[in-house]
Amino acid sequence: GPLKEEFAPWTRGKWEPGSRRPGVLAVKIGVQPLWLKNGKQILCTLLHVQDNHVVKFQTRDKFDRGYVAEKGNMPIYTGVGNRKAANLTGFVTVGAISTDPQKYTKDYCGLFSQCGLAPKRHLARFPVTDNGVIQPGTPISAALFRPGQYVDVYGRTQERGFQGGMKRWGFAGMPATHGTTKSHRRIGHIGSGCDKSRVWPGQKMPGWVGGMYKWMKGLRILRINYAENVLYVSGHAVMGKTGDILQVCDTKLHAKRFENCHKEGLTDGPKYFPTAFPEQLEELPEEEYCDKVHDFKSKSISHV
Amino acid sequence: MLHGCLSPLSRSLRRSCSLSTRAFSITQQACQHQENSYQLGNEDDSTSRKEMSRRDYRFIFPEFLPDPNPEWRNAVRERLERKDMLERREKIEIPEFYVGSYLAVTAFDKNSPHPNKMSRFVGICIDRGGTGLRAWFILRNSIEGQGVEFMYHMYNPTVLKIEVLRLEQRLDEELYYLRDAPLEYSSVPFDMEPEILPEGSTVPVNTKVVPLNPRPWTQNWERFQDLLSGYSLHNPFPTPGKIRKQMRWMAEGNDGWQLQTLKFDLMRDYRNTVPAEEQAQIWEEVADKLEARDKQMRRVATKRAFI
Repeated sequence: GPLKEEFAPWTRGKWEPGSRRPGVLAVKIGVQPLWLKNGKQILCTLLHVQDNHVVKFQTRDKFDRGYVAEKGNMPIYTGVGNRKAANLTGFVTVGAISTDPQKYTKDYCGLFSQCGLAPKRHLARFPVTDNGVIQPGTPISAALFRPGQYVDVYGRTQERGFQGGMKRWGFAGMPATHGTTKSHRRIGHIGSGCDKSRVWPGQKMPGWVGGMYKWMKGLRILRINYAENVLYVSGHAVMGKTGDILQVCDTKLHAKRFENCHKEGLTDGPKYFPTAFPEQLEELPEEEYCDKVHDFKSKSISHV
Repeated sequence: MLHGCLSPLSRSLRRSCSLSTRAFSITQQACQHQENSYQLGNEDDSTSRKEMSRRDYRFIFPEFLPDPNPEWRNAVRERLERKDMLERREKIEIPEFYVGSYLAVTAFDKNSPHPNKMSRFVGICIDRGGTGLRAWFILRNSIEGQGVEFMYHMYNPTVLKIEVLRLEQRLDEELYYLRDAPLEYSSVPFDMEPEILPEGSTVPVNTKVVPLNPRPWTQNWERFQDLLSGYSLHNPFPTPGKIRKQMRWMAEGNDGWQLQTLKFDLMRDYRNTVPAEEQAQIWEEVADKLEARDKQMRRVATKRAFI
């Protein structure tokens, strides 16, 4: 007989400027050099998209009335009091790296069993527009992205422990010689004296450095290996150590969004929107390079 | 100074246990072993001999072995990097060479005065290092009485040609002391023709001992006479002050004393090498392609020789 309404596959949206779709959870696996066609070397970070699936979709109304938005101390992408971005009508949760259900509580496993998935080690929530919604249970791969596009990466920075003013805030320190007494790396002056007669709150002082969640914005994807699901992202300073998990999504920077990248030739949007579905994965090549990057299979660079 | 970080000289100590290798074509070597085993009719021997010969690839292709630091190791990344290296090797011949060999490198240089925008540098290889696509080597030569060094990255696509003019090894794994030696020991003529070794010969070891210039030196060469045997010093301690300085440096707990204990530090050796089982896996992955490429290049070379 015909499918019940609740089991029917969801409609797949079409891209238009201003669309938002979920990203991926990727593991940082290392840094490797690539070369541009003009001979310049560029270091890139390899991000391995491992076993991603869409776990849940929530409408914005439901989310606003839920625990996280009202009481939970978690970052909300839609603004304080949920006032921003009316076009973001929902949140898609993506999970990565399936694990043994025995390691988790029944409640946690229940999040995944609703869409027929094994429990995932990591979860991330992405705000989306109407056309960016993906049905829970859909696998997500590196083919969601397009070589040459810009992405934002969100993750936890490396821990550096308790550090002094020079490393934490970039203070200049004091001279090594010329009579400086026991004050070479100290923070020095911390207040004016008479007027306020106290140290102002927020005074920069030594403290804990690293282990914070940060965004790195506008990184370019230089190469995608579709067979292994690996993204080659420009820059060697992507936060975290080898093996750390990161969120990767389309960039929010205005100048680097698809519709504004005329020079890079990205104005017609991502190739697969909202994601590359399983039947589309078969037509993909093994890997794809960005325009400016030298392909190792091509000839040596003997002219620019 | 020596805790954790591996100084170049201590690296030479780690590699001092390496054996001399063969100037065989690697395919010929593999074939030879196969032939022997076929005659003997013993299949077990052939696999073990083939594995043993592939174990020697750690000297011919040292950049295929990853950095042993466990913090940076990842199987997927290493596999992808090796794939890129093999693809690059299909486009250019990256020959077998050792520190002490004479090489000529032709590279694309956009600032070159020649219309073809290429520049060719010839020199003696004084050091090589790096893993994966970052593999590098340094060539040294003297140009108009001035010592010049160039560092090249082997997998850089602007490097168009790497020729080995003389394949040989020296007594040490690094030859930085040539900077403090008379320039004649770093001189390689630019118009040198490649010297081809007879097929199946071992790589010759040049036991030349280089006399260093009088002080000042770029490094304290009087301290490393135990680790490096390729240079000789005349009057290393000319003053009583120098003797006292040396004694202080060699006193218990100081750097010189620690340097002497390095050769007994098995755990340090273990930490700085990739385990043999993992090495075998790597050679299993890449050796077939390397051997096929080597065969292809030999065929091309013999064709050229007939012309």
